[in-house]
Amino acid sequence: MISPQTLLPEVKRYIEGLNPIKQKVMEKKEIKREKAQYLSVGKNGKNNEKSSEKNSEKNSENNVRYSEMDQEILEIIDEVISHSRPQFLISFFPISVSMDPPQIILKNSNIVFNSQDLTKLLKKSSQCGIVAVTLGYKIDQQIAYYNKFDLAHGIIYDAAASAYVEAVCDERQRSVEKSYNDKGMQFTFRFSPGYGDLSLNVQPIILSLLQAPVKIGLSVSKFYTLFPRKSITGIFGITPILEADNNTDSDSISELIQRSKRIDHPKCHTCLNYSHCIYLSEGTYCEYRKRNL
Amino acid sequence: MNIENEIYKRLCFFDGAMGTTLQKKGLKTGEVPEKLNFTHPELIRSIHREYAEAGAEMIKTNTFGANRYKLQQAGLEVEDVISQAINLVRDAAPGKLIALDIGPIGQMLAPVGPLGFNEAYSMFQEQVQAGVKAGADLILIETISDLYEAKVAILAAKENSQFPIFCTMTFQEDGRTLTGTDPETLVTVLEGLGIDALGVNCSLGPAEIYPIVEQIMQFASIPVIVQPNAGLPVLKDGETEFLITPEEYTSDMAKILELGVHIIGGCCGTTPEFIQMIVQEFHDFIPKPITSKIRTTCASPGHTVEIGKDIVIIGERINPTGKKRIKEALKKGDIDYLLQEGIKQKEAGAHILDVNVGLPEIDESTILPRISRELQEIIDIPLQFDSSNADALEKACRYYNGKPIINSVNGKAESMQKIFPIVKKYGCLVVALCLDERGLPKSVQDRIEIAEKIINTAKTYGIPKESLLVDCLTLTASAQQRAVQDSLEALRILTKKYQIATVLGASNVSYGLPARPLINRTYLAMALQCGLKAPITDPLSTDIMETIAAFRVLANLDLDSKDFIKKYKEYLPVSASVKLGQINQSSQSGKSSRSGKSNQSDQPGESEDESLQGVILKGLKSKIAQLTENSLKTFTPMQVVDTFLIPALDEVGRRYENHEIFLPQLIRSAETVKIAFNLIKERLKQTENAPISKGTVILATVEGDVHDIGKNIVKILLENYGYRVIDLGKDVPAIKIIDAIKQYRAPLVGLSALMTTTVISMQKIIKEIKSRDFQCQIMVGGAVLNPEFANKIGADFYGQDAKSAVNIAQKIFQV
Repeated sequence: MISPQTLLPEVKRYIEGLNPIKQKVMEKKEIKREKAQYLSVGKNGKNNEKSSEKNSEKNSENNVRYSEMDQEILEIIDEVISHSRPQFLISFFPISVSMDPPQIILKNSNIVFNSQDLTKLLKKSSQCGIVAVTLGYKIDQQIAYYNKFDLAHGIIYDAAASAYVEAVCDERQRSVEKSYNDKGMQFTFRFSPGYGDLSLNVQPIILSLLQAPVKIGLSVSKFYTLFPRKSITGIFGITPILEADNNTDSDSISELIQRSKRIDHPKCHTCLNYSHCIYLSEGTYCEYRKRNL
Repeated sequence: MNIENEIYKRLCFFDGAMGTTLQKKGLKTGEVPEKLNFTHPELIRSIHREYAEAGAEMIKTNTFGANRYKLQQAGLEVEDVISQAINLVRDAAPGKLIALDIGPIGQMLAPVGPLGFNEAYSMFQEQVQAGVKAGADLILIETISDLYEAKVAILAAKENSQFPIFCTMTFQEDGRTLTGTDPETLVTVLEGLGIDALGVNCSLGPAEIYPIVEQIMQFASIPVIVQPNAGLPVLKDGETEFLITPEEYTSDMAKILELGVHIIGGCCGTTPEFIQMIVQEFHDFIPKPITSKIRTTCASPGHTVEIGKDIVIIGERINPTGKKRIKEALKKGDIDYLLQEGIKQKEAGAHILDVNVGLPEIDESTILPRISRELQEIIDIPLQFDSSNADALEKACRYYNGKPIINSVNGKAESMQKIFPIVKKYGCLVVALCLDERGLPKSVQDRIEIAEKIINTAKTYGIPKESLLVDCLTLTASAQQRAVQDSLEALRILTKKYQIATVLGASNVSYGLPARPLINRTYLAMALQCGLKAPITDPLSTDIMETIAAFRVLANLDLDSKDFIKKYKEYLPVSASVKLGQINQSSQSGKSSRSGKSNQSDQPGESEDESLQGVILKGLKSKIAQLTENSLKTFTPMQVVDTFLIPALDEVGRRYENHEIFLPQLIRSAETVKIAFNLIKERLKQTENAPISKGTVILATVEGDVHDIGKNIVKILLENYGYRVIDLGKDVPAIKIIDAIKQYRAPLVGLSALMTTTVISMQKIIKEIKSRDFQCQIMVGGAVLNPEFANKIGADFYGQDAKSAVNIAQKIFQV
């Protein structure tokens, strides 16, 4: 089960993302500092400490105001959970990987995903999984309601739903992954249309592969927006456990994730889709970045 | 064989699955199954033949996804595919009935999805017309999750063919469809639309589908179809499989047949073997006869409201008659105000909302369906369309998702001629007023006679009496004192003798008398005792709601007085509550959401709370109105604005920019200020007639884009700074924006887009605006944009956040 408490930091991050002035400040000052920090990871420890001290002073001030809202945010997360009717689909497909041009080909079909980033992710896989999850229409209805009559509530509700749908997908995926773990296999992280250079126009293909419109009522507009709104789709690879685990130890990962909770991250600048990223535009960033820092 | 009669007499058999069979036979991943009609006709024929040989009487064409939306991806034409598919059945299974199979489009209808009613209708129409041309025998609309999509498909089938129409929806294990429709509502709405058989298919196996069928059977008065999957789908080595055997399937179906089902077949995972076994087992089975369930029901997509058992409250407030504020909102196009009235009534306990937008300057045919749609987007209770304009009623019923009520028909021949065809076609309920060419009825007998005439005429249109809600008309006690008893007596007779459901608008009775609430609530109690089932009344009136609550106890409707005790356990007698008047007033003044409450309880003693500034900083929306009123006693409106509101607003802005507060807090403060501003505007209107609007700005999220939070933030800040904002909403096409520019002569338009795909629409819209000779500048925002790009697509200004939008407005309106 997903508890409101575990979602709280993520929801706050989403709300922060909607805060345009914060973003502006980030761009000017913090990105510069972050960049400097990145360049000097481990070398210039003292300097870093100092600046992060300063930072935390300022943050603690923010956190006081923040925590006033925490109770309300938690209540709203609860509300989102109770309004949600999560529907999840997962299917597996044998694939072949081509490096030039970089593409993933679903075997026994005419379906090809053209994406350098996705190819990089799946290069060691011979099978991929495709998922779709939606929280259902009731959430959209509530968002429309609050946007008309209590915008502040609506902003928090919207953010809570965004965080919750990711969490639901992670959870459901993990429960399927367990049976693969027993066979010595694991899933790579989930790559969604709009991440990196994977175009949003694969959305209809993914939905029809999963028969998502019929099975979970998930469809896509000609502008590639998913309906119901709080829904995600994604592709991941299946790899042997040993080979795939080239990440660093878990402590440093969580530290990195912690640090990655910033809106416009320097890491994003290297992304092929930086200038068009819908995640940044919504004040968040893709899972790809989270895991690749 | 005349199938629509046959299904009443005996058990009839459909075939089994096509799609999953094709997958087994090697349908390529991602390929449309309909393509095989051309590439592998022999394969399709052989499947049909096997089902026919197994004993199926109705064979589904291989056209589940043969609609324009799905076929265009495969480069196929709808008409070709359907005519080929029908021919394949005809060749392979001569003598069997050809069921034109129509599945969901694959894009959900608005507001759940992106597809409009008319677009969806034209897709279904195309399929039906192709079926007519190629010569199908019946239409099976199947595997539908969205009640609205079912309605559109059924209308398209009825309006374009003479075929028998069967429709089955698909349910999740929790007993609802994906969009939240329950079995009762499926029956209420689809039966109303006048189809030949309804039911359930796919998603579940026969064991899981059983409880859903059980519910359907409780309510259905027409034959029921059940076509389950071969068990729940199981994921095995990456493949979806259906595991139950034909034997298990057959034994589970035996239980389902006991419920009284008249048509069976199979869905995903079933094969000719399954069909053969059920035909063998059940071909001599005699199903329970179909009985009429006499119920008076209306429905929203999520639930059915039955009139006749318990008291049903129809909220009357969305009606401009005698209501200045609603009139004004309608004239100004302030839909949000009307929606708010709807929400308030629902929260106060209304079960149904009456919607009346009748004003001379309002085009009801446009506005009534629009309000209906917007109400449906946020509230899930049935609506009652209240109009004397038949065209508006027709449109509202057509576009309504569910089964609405029409208010009203009366005993005049002309009225019945106009209204009954609409009632019949869309399967609505209708309020029947006891008056006719002779005018208001003079006696009890007059009322009964008119009611009888209406009931009998309705019958000739095929409308049963349970679709009527008779209104015996309330006359005013001050003018026609004797007639009050006549109405009540007629009500009693109609309820007892004719067993017909009644409605009554109760508030007229007190007209011209003092202490009107007293008369109203007493009259209501009398009417309820005479058998009134659905008062059309004001749910925000405490008197009315208390009377109904007490009546429900005394009439043994509120069992063990549970609802009553829950609501009134802390009841204060009137004299005590007068002293608390202030508190009551403030708690009634609008907001009742959780957040409002939690704010209210914030440190009640703190002095900051008592000042306007403090209330704004804390965003205490429930307190601002009273404080504003208080300050208006000492200060002029403009003084209140300049000395209190603006400085508070500036302070909020400062705190926000310094990261001391958080976006939702800023917004809550802004919404608080808005309440104060509105009060002050009202005051200024009364005293000086001076407009305090600094200018008009049009805002829209562009076509294709549904992200509107950013736009809403800009809106509230602009309003706070004194601008009048015309908010066109989200997904707005160019033409609507251009019309608004013309209508309001706005010098500034703000466009928002959040996706790379919709920035293209933004560019188009700008081009359209610029190609006309408007004195109008355009600002754009949304995080995919930047100043360079804004410039490139022809915008005059780029606003990177809400504050900069305000700055742009200030620049423009200074000149």
